[in-house]
Amino acid sequence: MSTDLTAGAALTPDDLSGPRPDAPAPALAAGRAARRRSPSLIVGAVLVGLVALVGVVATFWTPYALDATGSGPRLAGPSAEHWAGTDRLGRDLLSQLMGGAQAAMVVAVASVLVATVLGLTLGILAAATTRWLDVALVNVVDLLIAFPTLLLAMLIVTVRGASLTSAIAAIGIAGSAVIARVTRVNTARVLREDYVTAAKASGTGWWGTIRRHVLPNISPTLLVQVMLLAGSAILAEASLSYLGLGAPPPQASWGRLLREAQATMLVQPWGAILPGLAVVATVLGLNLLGDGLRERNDPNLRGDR
Amino acid sequence: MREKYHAQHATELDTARRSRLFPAAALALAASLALAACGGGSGSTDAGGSTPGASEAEIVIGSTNEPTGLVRNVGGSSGVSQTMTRNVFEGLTSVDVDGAVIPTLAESWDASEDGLTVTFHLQTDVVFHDGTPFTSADVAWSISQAIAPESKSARKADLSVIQDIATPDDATVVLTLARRSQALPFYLASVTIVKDGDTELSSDNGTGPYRFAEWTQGDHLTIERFDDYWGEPAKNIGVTFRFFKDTTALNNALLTGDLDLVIAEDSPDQLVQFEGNPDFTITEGTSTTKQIWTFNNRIAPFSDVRVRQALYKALDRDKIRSAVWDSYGTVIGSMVPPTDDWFVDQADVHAYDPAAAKALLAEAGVTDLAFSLDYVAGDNNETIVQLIKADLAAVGVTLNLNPIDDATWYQKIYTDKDYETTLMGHVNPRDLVWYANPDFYWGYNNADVQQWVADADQAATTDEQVALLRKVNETIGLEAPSAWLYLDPQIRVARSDISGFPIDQVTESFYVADIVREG
Amino acid sequence: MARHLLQRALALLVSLAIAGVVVFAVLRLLPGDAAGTSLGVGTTSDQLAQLRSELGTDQPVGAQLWQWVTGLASGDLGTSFVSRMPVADLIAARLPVTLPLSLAAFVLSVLISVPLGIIAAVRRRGVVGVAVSAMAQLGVAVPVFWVGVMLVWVFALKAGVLPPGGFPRQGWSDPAAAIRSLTLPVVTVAIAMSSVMVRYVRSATLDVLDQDYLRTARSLGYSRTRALARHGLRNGAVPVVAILGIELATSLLGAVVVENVFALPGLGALLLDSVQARDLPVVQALVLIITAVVLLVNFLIDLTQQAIDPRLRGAAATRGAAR
Repeated sequence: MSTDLTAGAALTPDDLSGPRPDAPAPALAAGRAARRRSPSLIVGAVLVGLVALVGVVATFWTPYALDATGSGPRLAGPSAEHWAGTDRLGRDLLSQLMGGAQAAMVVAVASVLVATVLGLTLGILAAATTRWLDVALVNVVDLLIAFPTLLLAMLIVTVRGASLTSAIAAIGIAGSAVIARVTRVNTARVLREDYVTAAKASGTGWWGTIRRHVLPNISPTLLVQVMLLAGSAILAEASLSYLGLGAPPPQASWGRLLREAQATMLVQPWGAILPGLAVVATVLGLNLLGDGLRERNDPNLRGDR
Repeated sequence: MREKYHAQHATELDTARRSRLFPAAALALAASLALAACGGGSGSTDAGGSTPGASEAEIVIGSTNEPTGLVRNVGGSSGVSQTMTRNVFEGLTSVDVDGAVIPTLAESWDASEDGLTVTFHLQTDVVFHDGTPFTSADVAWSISQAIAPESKSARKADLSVIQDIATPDDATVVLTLARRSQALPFYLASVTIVKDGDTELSSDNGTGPYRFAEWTQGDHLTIERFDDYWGEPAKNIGVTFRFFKDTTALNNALLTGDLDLVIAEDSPDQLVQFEGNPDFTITEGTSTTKQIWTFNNRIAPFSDVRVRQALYKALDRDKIRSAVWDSYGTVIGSMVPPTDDWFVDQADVHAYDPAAAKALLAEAGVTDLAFSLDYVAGDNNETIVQLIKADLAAVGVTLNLNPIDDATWYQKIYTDKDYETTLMGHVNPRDLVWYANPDFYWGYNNADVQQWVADADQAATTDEQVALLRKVNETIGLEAPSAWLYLDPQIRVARSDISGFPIDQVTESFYVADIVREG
Repeated sequence: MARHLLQRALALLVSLAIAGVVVFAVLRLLPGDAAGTSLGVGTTSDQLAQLRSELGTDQPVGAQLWQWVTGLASGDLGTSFVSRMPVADLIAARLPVTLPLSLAAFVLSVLISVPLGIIAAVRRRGVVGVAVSAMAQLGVAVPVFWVGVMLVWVFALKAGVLPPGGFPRQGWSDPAAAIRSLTLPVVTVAIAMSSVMVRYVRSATLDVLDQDYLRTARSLGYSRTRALARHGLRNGAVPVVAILGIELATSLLGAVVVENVFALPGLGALLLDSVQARDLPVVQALVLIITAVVLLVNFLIDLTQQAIDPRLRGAAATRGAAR
């Protein structure tokens, strides 16, 4: 379900099993997979690239200003002046959709960043330090995953006010639990490898081990998770905005466009159809990108996922 | 949204707020007209009125204004007033759908020469829904509850003018007052009578044309016709209020035949789907909901009348109104809607004039003005604040928008008065008098206004009172303690076989006993 | 085994207690209070103070917490600050909506996704397999509420065959109406949920198909289907059970959005309203219940997985987080 981050960023058994002992080193696998082009990777990259491009353009230019109410008639269908039509306040829908792409990108990047930094720290701490800390962190992460993400968002919004930052904080914190879980399992596996034990014996410090052995080894799996998490972050932001907990105008948001447009479905259905399609295209792109990366990490999965 | 007027979804917070704004003091004014008007006819603004031979049907009404609880005299909670007052519970008096005070459980009343003793003559054939006869003891109990030390009624302070309640016989109640109060009959309309000894929290036993049947919190409230009602019986066998959080689901339910009537539409856009459809009737009436951008008059620079006037002149109010309401709604220039006797058209006193606004700001010596606007997040509010921000930018003023939620608004703005400017819809009829309360959240302090309002309350004649209030109205219109934007329209949509509902919404109750379905 | 069970149960209780206390404290840091939201403008500060003392919100947080905990211990979830009704009653009134919605959507999703997932794996290079995978990929990317809005548009507003929202006043005493009103919400949730599940089932089946024992079984003359049925299902079920559990729990949380689309008076709507009105006893109780259900489901997943695959039993410590 789109409100829950743990389900959106679908963990598969492979993510938790880490690098397979018999699998080639990641770099080698990536090289080989790159030569055999993955359709997922290409389609995903194109979709995400397109949305990102629109988002960047929207930062500098939209056909009409985002707060230009009455730039056209109310609830008009597509026309030469307004390619996607107008909303209930006569705002240009195409401009709103472009602004929504920008918001989606900002939320995806920022909340994934929050989740990764937080999750990586928690995960590595849990795996690489003492047992009691591990047990404590595992339970904290379990609790965080069990805690309703939406309620977390509602609390943050209530204290801080509805804004993009509030949404990012809520989604980032919730997502960090997923990243922490993946990181912990994979880090623990890497730490048990013979060459790591050998490196430790030869005097490599704690931080050196993490930097030289753990991070390079877990990063391919992590990258996959990050892509999937970005997709769920966009879904989560849309849900929050739909419920009225997202950033207020003039910040455009696909979720809010949908909420406003659903009241007038019988008059101007495009207002509700297009933002939905935008979300689908973006999330699909990120998920495909994630799947494509997974295939590169593990050529055995080629064509399977 | 909770009340009648606007808002999709999130604006419900804002309307929830409005719905509760039920000031004791404001009602006093209405009441002062009431004495003269007592006996005013019922249903004068009904849509269509009742048709003889109408079938006895159950009516399903869609509303976004659910009661928070069934406690009647707490604050000014309008969800419970809207559904229960006049329908299930009655007072000695009632406020009719056109705003006039009419006798109800009191058949008549008369006041002594000095106005300090008011005698109410009660209806004699009234029974409660449980069959107990209604007597003066029930009245004494109910009024004493409303003015008791632990009463949380919003009218407690105003009803405290009552010094003594006497019941010489079962059909007579004598109230002794501390001072003359023409407003008393109006206040008493809000004191709904329950059985002697029944408390707020436990009683659903009233004397109205309907008995309370059930309330499923978050979904619906049902009332059924009471067959032993003392007055004219209800024209339908019962009413169910179904509660929605936003008008989207509400209108969908109306479209698909699950509802008979929607009490309030919150935007013109959803009307398109009903227009030209013979299955539906759209009515446009007047409301008392004033959208107000208000200043914290206690603090600089808003304590300077020139700054307030400049900011008001900077606004293109008609653009704001039309952005939200398209062709509906009315631009206003003070707190008084055109339906009041002391209304003076002041919409042009501070007409849109950016040049004059700049000049006034320069005269006041204010440069690089920047301040914040706290508003309850919601679609219409967001539209309004964007337009205000743009208009202010055009005169060199920077506005920082700060969306908050309803509960936060109550604490930060209403209680702590910790704000610069804020946006709020005020729903109450005749709430002009709040400008006479320097402790109110907007903190407007004008000794003349305070004196005039006090005098009006105890005026000997209606003319004298209207003249005084007109002075109040004109003074605030000029001094602009708030920037009044526009008055909301009251738009209802009904299935075309439904009639008999009030078109205007100038009272806190929604009287349903005249609604019929033509068969 | 018994010791492990006990440990896990203890951890569950401790987690729940921590969550309860944290939520309790955080809720009291929120701006605004229920006295304000229920009395509104027009009341004086004396009247507010009066209501706060009646509600007990003027007490120190520690005392309020103690009162709440002792109440919980005796099975009392408290009383709503706003409607003054027992919290347990308010929640009980919402269960007939949320519970059937979640369970029906879950069952429907399992019925759809398990066969489709297996087919998609077995025929992974065929048209059917590719189509199923693509549909699932799409379904995962679609916002739940958008599906709802579209279904309302098509089936309720345009075709008029199903109600656009709401729950019948008579509730389940009018089963036909209740089922009709829950049909679109259930389909909405099931589309999202089954898409996620299909991907897991497919992935798990693929893993099984790769295993040596299956190759051995086939070399012994079993057909692929029989080999899969005899040996594969048990092994494939372990990761699938995990995701099913997570999805069951999320379906409860996801209720907020779906109930909003369909104007259903369920638990999600109650949570949203209660936070807005600062009806803290209701929020506390709901959070506690939802968190408890999720933790409990996780716990049950563990047990189920161990029952399916006894090899997992020793590995408790590492698997604690690796569900």
